[in-house]
Amino acid sequence: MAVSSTATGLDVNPLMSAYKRRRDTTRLGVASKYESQGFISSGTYGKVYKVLLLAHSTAATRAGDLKGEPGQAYAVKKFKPEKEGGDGYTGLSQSACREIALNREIRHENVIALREVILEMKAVFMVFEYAEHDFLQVIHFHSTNQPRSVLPLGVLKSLLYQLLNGVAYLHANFIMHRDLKPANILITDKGVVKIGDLGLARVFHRPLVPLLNGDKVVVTIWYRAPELLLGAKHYTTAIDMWAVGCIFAELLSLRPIFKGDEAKMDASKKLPFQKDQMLKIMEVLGVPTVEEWPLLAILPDYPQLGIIERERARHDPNKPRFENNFGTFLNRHMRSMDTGRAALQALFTWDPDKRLTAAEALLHPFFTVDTPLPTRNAFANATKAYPTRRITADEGGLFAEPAAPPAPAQTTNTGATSQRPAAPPAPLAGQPQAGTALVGTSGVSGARMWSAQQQAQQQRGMARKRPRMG
Amino acid sequence: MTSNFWESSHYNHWIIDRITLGQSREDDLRYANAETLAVFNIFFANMIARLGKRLGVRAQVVATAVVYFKRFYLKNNICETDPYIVVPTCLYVATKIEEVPLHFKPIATETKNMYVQDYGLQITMPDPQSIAEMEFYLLEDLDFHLIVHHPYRTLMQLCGESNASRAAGESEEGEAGEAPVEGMRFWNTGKGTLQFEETARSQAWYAKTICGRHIVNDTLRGDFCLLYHPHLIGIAAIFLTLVLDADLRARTDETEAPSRGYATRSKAPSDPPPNPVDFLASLNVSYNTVAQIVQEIISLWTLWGRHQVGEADTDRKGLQMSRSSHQGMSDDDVIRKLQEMHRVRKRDEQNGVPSRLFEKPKPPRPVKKQ
Repeated sequence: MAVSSTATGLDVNPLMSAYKRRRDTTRLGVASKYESQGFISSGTYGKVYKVLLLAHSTAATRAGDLKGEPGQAYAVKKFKPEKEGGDGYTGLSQSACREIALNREIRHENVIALREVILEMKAVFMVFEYAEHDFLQVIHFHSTNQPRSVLPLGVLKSLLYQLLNGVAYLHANFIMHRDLKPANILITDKGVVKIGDLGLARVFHRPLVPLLNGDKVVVTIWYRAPELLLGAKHYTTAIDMWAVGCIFAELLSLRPIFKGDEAKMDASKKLPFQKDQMLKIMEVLGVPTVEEWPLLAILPDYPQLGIIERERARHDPNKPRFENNFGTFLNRHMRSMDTGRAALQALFTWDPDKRLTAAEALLHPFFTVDTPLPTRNAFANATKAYPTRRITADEGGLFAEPAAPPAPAQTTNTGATSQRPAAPPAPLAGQPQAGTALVGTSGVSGARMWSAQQQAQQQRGMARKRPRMG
Repeated sequence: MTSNFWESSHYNHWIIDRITLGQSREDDLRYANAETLAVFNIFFANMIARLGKRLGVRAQVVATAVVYFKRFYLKNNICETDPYIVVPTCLYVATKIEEVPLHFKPIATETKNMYVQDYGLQITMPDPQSIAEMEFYLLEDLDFHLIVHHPYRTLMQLCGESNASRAAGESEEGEAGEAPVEGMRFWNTGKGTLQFEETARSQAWYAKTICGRHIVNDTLRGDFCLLYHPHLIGIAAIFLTLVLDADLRARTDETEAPSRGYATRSKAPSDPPPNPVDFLASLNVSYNTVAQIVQEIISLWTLWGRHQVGEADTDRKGLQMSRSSHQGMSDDDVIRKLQEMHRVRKRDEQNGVPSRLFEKPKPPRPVKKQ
């Protein structure tokens, strides 16, 4: 069934075979430039490996590439082909194209830098600067290491400030990230925040088609803004700011503030209303009103709010109404930080038009007046050294033939879709992924490979998960 | 950079000078003269536009694909590669980058239909596999610089914007899309934009020119996108529109004494729109370069008028038919010429005539901001 690659494609074209040969013979592969250190993580897109730059490959290969230092560490993101199996070309995924196109243009201290792109053996390798830590790892370190500790205020503020700085840069360049979450925000060993994973990001300046036409599902469920949950067809950079608010809260409380269960797409392929997520937000922030959010009533899923409220009244007659419990949260985690409370509250503004923007946030007194002020090295005020990134054995993955079809047995890990929200794709924690509800058609999680160690971590993550109410 | 042209890959790596452009064609010039290569340029740009039309994609996607095509042939020779596979691949990548992705299978099908029905081509048709494969090679030759800046944005910014024109833009070519802002950085008049009347505004895109084509779209048939900054191309298009349309000129002359018609149309009635001549003069750009672009657009039209290649527009076809005195190249001539180039090059290759497969040299130091 597999068609030999020599029987199709450019090889049969006598005019292109010479061109192809010439390009193929001059191309340097990943293995000839980098030495693999091992496997970092995997996701729906593919896998990430840590590599060291070999001494003879420090020069830039093509225009726009970055120079390197011998032995410098990089993270190589290897995209798996869109379809599993077969040995033909499948075309680059939209997300790979986006990530390449955007990363080749942008340069900012707080956005991860792309050194080069290598195409080899039908796979795409993006070589990024290496970051030793990420937000998720820092959160986990504080929440799991005994005794449990909170992030020092100086660290928290610096991380947040640098994150906002990167987000402000992206927004100023008409780029929405659309998948901000702790796992995607990296930190170098020098304590510099680097926003990563622009696979869902897109340019929004005068789009040719409505944003909703492209990607039906954006932003990982726990970080998804209320306007998205309520079915808004048009959205703005404010969705990234909601996610920043969620991340802020998570840095404070060391757990996702709105940890809803994702509703799966049913057979009709209609996008489900994410009721549980909306419920989780309302349990903390209360019910949005048309007074504070004038356009609320015209959102497609606005009537769902009434349904949620009525259900609540029925199930819990003692507390029939949603109340704003945000003060409790703030008292618990930010007792004496008035400006910090104000900043977080402004990020959780219901109305996206009134929500704090990244540029405004950078000027917020929380960052500009109140001490400690943010530092360039976010770890300057750290009380403990954060652990380095866990690198597992490569198992020949990086330099091996691409598109190894997943072993059938491995699909059982994530195959039970009915319980899917509990299955964390990211190896470090139970973080859901953006867009999974949509990509589900081609066995979205089936291809994921888990090392035994990651599975153990996953189970730990699940065990920590709060039990679902009824 | 996606919004700042001066920090973009387009500006830093893909604006070249004429000498570099000439060098990139040295091999091809052994097999065809410069005019023939210029006709090829028109032929393939028209082909991409035609394929775009068949697939129902917008003008901006076509524009991006054409720029990819031209950049690819900065590094490669027509005589040694197969443009018939490069054309659909450019469009395939452009649909993804402009966020209106199409799968390569329908693109392959439509390409085949076009080649057979519109061009009567008898070649090995590009199959889906080869388009997907070619994508890899194309991306490499583009140095993975995929975001392209088009003059449409400048037109939109300079000529203002109204709902009516936006609506027109929805259905017509010339809608400006995600091309970047480079505008507000250097004309800082603070007086807003040049307010054409509605009809005149669409003429900025549509100028009733020799071929009745949109000037900016026309520039895709030449080498403008490799040589000039997009905003200068846009300004040249506005300039030509003003010059070529007598009605428009008459109307805009009136604005020296602001007329009531203008005042009511203006977005800010208290702040009358500037006279177009003053307005263009106030833009801090090199009018030497703009004049040069204008000259070259006119030369392109002359050339285009002489040759009837890849023309999907039947009106224009009729126009050319009627000018029977011109003995230019037809589609069939181009196709035959290309075959001949490939054949002769193959023979030369067997006889050991080297081709200096052009590698783009380090781009010249960026020209001073204009």
